[in-house]
Amino acid sequence: MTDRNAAPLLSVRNLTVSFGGPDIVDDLSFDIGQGEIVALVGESGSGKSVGSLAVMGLLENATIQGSACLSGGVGSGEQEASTELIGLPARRLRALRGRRISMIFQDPLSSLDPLQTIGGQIREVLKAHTRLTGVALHSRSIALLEQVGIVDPEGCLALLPQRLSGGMRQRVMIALAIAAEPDLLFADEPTTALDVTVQAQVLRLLKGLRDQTGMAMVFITHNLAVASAIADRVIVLYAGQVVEDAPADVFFRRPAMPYSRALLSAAPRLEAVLAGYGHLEAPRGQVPSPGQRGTACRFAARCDDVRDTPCLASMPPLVSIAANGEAHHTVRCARWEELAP
Amino acid sequence: MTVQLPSVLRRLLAHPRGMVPTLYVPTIIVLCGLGPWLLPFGELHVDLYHRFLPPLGNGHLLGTDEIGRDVLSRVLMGGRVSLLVGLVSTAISTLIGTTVGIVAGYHAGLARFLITTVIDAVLCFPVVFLLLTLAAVLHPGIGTIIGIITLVSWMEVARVAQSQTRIVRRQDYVTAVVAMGAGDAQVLFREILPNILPAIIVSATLNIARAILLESYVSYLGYGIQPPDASWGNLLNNAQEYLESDPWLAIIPGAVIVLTVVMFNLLGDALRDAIDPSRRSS
Amino acid sequence: MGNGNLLYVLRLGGVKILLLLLVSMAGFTLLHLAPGDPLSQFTLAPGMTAERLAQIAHGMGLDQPLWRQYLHWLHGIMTGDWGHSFRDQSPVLGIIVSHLTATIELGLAALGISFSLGLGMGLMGALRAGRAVDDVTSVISIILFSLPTFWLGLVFIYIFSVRLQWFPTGNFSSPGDRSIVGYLRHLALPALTLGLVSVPVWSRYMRTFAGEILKQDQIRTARALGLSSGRIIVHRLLRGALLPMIPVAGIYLPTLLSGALVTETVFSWPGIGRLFLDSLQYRDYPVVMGVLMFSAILVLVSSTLAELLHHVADPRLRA
Ligand SMILES: Nc1ncnc2c1ncn2[C@@H]1O[C@H](COP(=O)(O)OP(=O)(O)O)[C@@H](O)[C@H]1O
Ligand code: SF4
Ligand SMILES: [Mg+2]
Repeated sequence: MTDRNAAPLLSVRNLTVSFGGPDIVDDLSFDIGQGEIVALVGESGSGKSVGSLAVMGLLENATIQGSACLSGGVGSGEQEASTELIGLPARRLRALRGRRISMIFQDPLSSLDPLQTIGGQIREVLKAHTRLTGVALHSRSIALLEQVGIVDPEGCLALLPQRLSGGMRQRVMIALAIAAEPDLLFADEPTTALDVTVQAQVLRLLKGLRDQTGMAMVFITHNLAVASAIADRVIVLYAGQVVEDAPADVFFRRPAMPYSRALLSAAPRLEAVLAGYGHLEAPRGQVPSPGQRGTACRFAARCDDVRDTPCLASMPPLVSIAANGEAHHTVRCARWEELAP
Repeated sequence: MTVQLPSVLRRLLAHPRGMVPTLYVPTIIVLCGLGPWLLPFGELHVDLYHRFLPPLGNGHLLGTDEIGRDVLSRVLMGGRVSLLVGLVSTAISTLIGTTVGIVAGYHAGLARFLITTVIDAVLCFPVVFLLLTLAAVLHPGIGTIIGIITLVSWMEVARVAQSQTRIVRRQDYVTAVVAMGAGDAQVLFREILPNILPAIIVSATLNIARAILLESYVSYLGYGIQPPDASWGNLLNNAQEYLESDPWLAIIPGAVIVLTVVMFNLLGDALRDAIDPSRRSS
Repeated sequence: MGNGNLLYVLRLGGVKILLLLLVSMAGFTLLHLAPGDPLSQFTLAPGMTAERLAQIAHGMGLDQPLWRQYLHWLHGIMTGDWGHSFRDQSPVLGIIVSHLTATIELGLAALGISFSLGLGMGLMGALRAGRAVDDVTSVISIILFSLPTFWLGLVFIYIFSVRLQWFPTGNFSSPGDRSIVGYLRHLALPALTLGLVSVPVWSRYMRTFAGEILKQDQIRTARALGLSSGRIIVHRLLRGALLPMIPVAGIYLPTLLSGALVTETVFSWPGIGRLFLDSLQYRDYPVVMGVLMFSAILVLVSSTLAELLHHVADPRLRA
């Protein structure tokens, strides 16, 4: 599925976001491959949502620096040139949203229009991005609902969001997001508000959709167990920075960053989480807030392996630790080599 | 929510929208209160040789009226009455409204239903119609004006008190206090009243603005304060007659009303934000 | 319509009827508090005797106990017999209806002005929340809210009639001028006065409702799905914010009527507001009470209609 040699679908470089105060997201760089599912993990407040919204162009009153380059679409007829998303005029950004990049959020009820039927909302999106009308519009709506596993699509079209269960609403939300067949879907904690059995269903649905359509996905979660169920690759965010970026199998077997290890050792196995037992515990201590991040390793205050040098001397850079022939793997820790098992 | 007075005052003064009314309101009250001792002309001093003087004419800062009385003196004297009506009627209606509101908010059931229905029934009448009818039926005078404005004003406060009481009543800690067997009086004075007080104060401030306006309507239409006594409303009583030749007779007292009512309204808004700063962002 | 809805409508109706009874009792009580009882108009008639007075009193039902008088009066209200004017003995309901057109015309024009301005101001404030526009619109709202209607009318007359001479100072129409332009020139100032003072009713609610919707995730989601901002403002924001405005219209009518009374007085506009004030001056209590009852019923009916309309218009309540 993932082809590391092909040009990445989305290439984020040095993305920095602030709201007039300290930088919330700090020099973020990562790639998303075609058809790849990347889990963006990190404790609450680490900047996962802000970073994704910045790429989507959905932040207001924010100062955004850096670059987010979306490569040209291949699936949609004529080849498009690649596009720089940061600083793109609102009109062109709007034309890309929904069609090339799309996003779903945590709470499907508040995300949907409470006054419009499901059918109306699907038609609204289809009309914005396609030329479908009449019967074609209708059958496409039905097909979309079938695609997200809704049992009675015809009946569902006539319903208002309030009549659906939480899981059904998130399915509808997903249908809306994929209606114009985007190449990349940001899913911001899409299962967090759902109960555990429904969580597993929605995860399976999203993974199935990727297999079916080849759509890449940035799956945002603070829950490592959920990430392990869906991700091809894991990017760990800490205090606004990438601290580790590794293929999922490598990450869950041999995490390199002490923070990742602390998270993983605290995380119960997926089955336990999905069954509702136990909850994720973050390592002791707290994430430094955006104003108090200093110039040392940001994890230092919580790290068991901290040393005055090199940890506190300067900010460790993000370095590649992939051996020859191995897949891409970067980590931000000054002592990663000493600490390697 | 406990409210610290110094911090409320600090937030109030931090923003021009709070500072200006906070300074204006005491100033106008003092000016009107001391008015008669400040001025060279008595408010009733008739001077037929100096009628219709324009502002600044012959030592009259705001000019003179149709029988040569000093307009500034009349505005200040009128302000005494208008402010008195505003403050006293608000004090009474706040007392009534808070009591009724707490009763309706605290006890679900028949009491609440009856109270809210009565309030709705009174609100069916357009307020100026109601005021005029009452004023016409009753003996005119400052007491009557205060009484009838109170009669049409307590409902707003009662609504606020009612909804706030219901919110506080539902809080877990109040439920706990009740469950531990606290008496109604204890819950009322220890828990409910301190918590709804900020909202009541805001509502009362806005109510003063409304009462001043209502007094001006009734007096302007001739059913309120009767000449030769002045109030801000009745100064405009026959101003329309002289609009063509002497417009300031209408414009000045009206502008004072507008300024004062705006300030009370701004003060109410600013108080709301100062008491509960989290609202400001919304 | 679901069962819950039917129940809701029934309950609403029940409360309204109770309200109407309370309103009528208040009206009746006021009528009896009024100085000069209904007989006073006859006492001074030449050749009046105590016996004759008693006869008249009996004829008018005044010797009955108060509750029977009330029922009689209420029956009259319900059957369209609202009594007769002291001034010219013509039926009260007829007098009211004949003054209604002028008030409706003034009210509609003012409604148009205040609704469009208020909507625009509220929307602008919400879309620019926390910025200068928001501050400016809210201060304008407060100022308009604080203006005595009569004073604004006087200022307009001074500026636009006395100085600029663009518009006449008042009245329904000029003698001999039946043209629509002439009529509109007479309507302009009163409508502007009444319209401006009621702008805050709409702008404040609009600001609140639109602000609430803009905070909802659905706006961000709609943008994430690539819907245009025009579509989002019209279909999500306006639609969502206008819906709760429907019941506000019910609250608005009493305000409008109060304002109309003052405006009609300043501009000599022959509507029911001025009828009310004239009748009050002549102590023509049947007409006074008639107008009071009429406006209260109007308010009740319109607020009921507004609530029902809201119920029909909101798909969440319809389903
Ligand atoms: N609009 C905003 N204005 C100012 N600060 C914000 C805004 N949105 C988010 N933040 C701040 O940015 C930080 C990261 O938030 P977020 O990206 O939502 O975290 P996550 O999604 O990882 O839980 C938090 O400290 C939050 O307070
Ligand atoms: S740099 Fe030092 S403090 Fe930071 S994670 Fe590595 S070992 Fe811990
Ligand atoms: Mg988040």
